Amino acid sequence: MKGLLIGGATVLGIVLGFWPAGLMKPKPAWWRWLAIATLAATVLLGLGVPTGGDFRSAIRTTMGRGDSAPLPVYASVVELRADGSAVLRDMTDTTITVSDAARIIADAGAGKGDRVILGLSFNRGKAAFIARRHLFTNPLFTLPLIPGLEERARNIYFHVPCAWLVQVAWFIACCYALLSIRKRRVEDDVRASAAAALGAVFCVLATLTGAIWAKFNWGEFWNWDPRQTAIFVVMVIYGAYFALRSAIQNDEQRARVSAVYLLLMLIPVVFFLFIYPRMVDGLHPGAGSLESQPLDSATMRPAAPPTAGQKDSPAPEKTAVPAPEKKDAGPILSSDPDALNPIKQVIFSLSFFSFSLLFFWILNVRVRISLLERRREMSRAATTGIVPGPIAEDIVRPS
Amino acid sequence: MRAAAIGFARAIDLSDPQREGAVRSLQARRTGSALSSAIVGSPRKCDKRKQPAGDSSLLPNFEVCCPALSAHVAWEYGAGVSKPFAGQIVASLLRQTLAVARKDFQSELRTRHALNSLAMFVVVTVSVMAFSIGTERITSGIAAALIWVSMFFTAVTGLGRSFIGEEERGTGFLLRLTVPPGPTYAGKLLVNLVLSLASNAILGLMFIVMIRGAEMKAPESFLVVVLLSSAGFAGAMTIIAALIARAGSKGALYPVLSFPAILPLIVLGVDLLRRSMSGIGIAAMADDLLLLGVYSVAIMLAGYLLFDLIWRE
Repeated sequence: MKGLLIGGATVLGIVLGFWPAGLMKPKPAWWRWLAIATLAATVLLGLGVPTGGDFRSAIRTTMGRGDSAPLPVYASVVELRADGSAVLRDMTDTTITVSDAARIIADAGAGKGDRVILGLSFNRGKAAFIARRHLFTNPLFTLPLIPGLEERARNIYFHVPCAWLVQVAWFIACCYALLSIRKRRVEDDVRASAAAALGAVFCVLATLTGAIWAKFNWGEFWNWDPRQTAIFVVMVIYGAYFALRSAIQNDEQRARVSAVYLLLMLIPVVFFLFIYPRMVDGLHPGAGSLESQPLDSATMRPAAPPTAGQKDSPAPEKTAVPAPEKKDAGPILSSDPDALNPIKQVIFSLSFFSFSLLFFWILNVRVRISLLERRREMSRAATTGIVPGPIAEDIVRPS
Repeated sequence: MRAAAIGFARAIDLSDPQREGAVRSLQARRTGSALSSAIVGSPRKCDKRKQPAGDSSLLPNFEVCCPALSAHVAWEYGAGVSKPFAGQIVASLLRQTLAVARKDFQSELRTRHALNSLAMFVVVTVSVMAFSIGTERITSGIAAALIWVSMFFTAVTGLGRSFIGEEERGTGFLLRLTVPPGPTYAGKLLVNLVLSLASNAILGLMFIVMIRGAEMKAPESFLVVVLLSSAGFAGAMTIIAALIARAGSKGALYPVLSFPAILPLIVLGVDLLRRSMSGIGIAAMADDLLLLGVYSVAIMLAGYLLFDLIWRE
């Protein structure tokens, strides 16, 4: 189910990127509205759906953090007591009496039988919860509280699609580079370079979202994790590609040389995407190495220590320290259906879909702008008496 | 010379009705080979003896070096020669490769410009490192890193000359006419391989002699690491030199374009070099050595496949 949802959204995003109107004609209105609507939905749901954990995850998070800041816990109100405490039952049917909760629930206008998200702090000395503030009453959806990640888990809806689109852009650029060599069409070169330019933009976005997230989760903006190395290499390749393009004046030569460079760079990219992450330890999920060594603990936060006899549902996602003893495929690629909460699956699929549409929309506009610029140059050259090259006929197509 | 050029032009002009005859006469007069050697520019000593005095004394007999070259070229252009056997073709491609490499070495030995500058670059780099480090005793990790920094910049400085030289001298066109792209690439690769291996070996030895702390505790693994990384350098630099030659010889682009292709070598090689310098044998790091070798071969093969596309006009 999870695979179908995420895979389907990914494939559909790419299919819809190409299918109506391709890359060289304007997209129809419904397509644009779909892109806007799904993007808005991604942002709204990705940032808006409240986090509400169960008692166990709140305890684990508190243990991992070393302070007792309030954490969102999603529970239904069983009983309000006169001493200000309330009996709450969470989603795993654990029932706990929380002090100060009755007053806070009453202040918020909720009552017995309502489902609420409360900010609770766990007092380790007394092993008891104290209610701090009211967050939501009867939310439609909630996201689980992941120890070691908390609200930072939302980055998955923005960082991962960007990183994915870097690879899509790379693939598209390589395909069109190959086509421009084989067919010698100017449009293919325009499309390849536009895809590469957009890939570079998404590369920057993925790096920024990842680096900011890493500062708060791993302690440093940059850790030379294998995936960070890979994205760095891809960025350098894009930079070199555009440096090479700007160095060549002749259109045909530029198309050919830059296409060859892009294809040549497939080898280092394959190395850094598929071989290098398996050679060295990494922080990203799915980074299991052959000889797993524990990571340098000075650079990151300690992970939440697992409490005895506890099943984690949902499994930790992007844990601060990858468990070295077991190979963790990460929440998205894991074969365990419970590894990603169903609501997260939906939002994640939606984000993949909407980011793909955004990507192809910008790509479409970019390609059309480049072609129009070329056409303008051609007509200017024609009016000033400079003979336009043979490419002029290819671009100005009779409609 | 002029007659040879006209004959050759006829031989390659497919619309010329006299083409076949021209190819035959070329073969008969072995002028195709003479034209090939015109790329070399001036004769070798041994050829001067064989040539009659006069105008053609400037043209060495190229077929003394590679007899199958012109036969293969003639067959490719559709002359009335029978198709060579597979073994003959392989032998002929090999000879062409060697001929291209020899041409490069000869023209290099004549001026020694690139060799001298490469050797001096190595000496200067190691001296700068040695004086900067002073009498400090560095760890093998830092020594390996410094050797790799020097190797990278030596490769970037020295290995790009091959194709850029052709474009600068304007001899690329003749090379395209006489030798198919595959052997051209292979010959240039061979030259770069030798240059890279020599400069890296000298660099490594100078480090070990001049810098305290850089010790070669396992010479055989050190040599294997240097050999494999030189192969990778040569593979990456050859195809990128060909690209840059087509980009109008922009020298500043060289480190920029080659860095992503070299980075896997650095990532693998620095650690391997460090381990070999601290005395770990080949068997203990066979996996990583294999990966280094595979990457080097992969980049060479990719270069071979892609070279055709940029070399053709």
